[in-house]
Amino acid sequence: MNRADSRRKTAREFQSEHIDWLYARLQAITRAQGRYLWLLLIGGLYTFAVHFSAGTTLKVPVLGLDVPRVLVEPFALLFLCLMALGFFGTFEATSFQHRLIAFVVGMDWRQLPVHHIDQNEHILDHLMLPRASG
Amino acid sequence: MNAIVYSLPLTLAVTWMASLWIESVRARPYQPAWLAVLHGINGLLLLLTVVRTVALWIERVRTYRQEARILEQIRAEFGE
Repeated sequence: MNRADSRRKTAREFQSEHIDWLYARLQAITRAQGRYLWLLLIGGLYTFAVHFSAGTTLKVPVLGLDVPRVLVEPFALLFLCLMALGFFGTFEATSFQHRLIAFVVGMDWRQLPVHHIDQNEHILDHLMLPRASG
Repeated sequence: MNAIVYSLPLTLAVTWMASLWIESVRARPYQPAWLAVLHGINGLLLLLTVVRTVALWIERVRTYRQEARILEQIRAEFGE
């Protein structure tokens, strides 16, 4: 066994002992994914309502400020873009963590669907449930 | 079908974001002028978002094809 193989074996043994860490991290990532999605969808609805409302200033929820309309939309769009990119980022992180878990338990990742080990479904997952159960 | 249902809300949100950005570009000149920088950053981030959305569509379609194949294999092996 060469040095690289030995290092790989040690890493795998360490990860096998701490599979609960990997699993907990996967759950944390998928929780964050759901939150990013909610913020994106609610933010999208907010900007939709703002766009078709009247007035030169707008009341910003949470902050309780009256802000000129010309400032609200660009900052809201910036927020939405960041939420969307955050959401997509969690997809990659989930994919990496899922493959790592599959590797550690000695399975091909294709044989271990991520929705079998993900405890935190988000709204898009629920849209698909009728087909999954039917 | 599932791939469409899964990606539709996200696609609608991204389409809405794109339409907001296009409208803001049409509303030039910006007042105050520094908003141009913000709109530029938004345009860049939006471009990345659109690319990621298209990638998500491709990935979802591929995933569902793969899952359908696995389901077919299971059905063939164990029956209905």
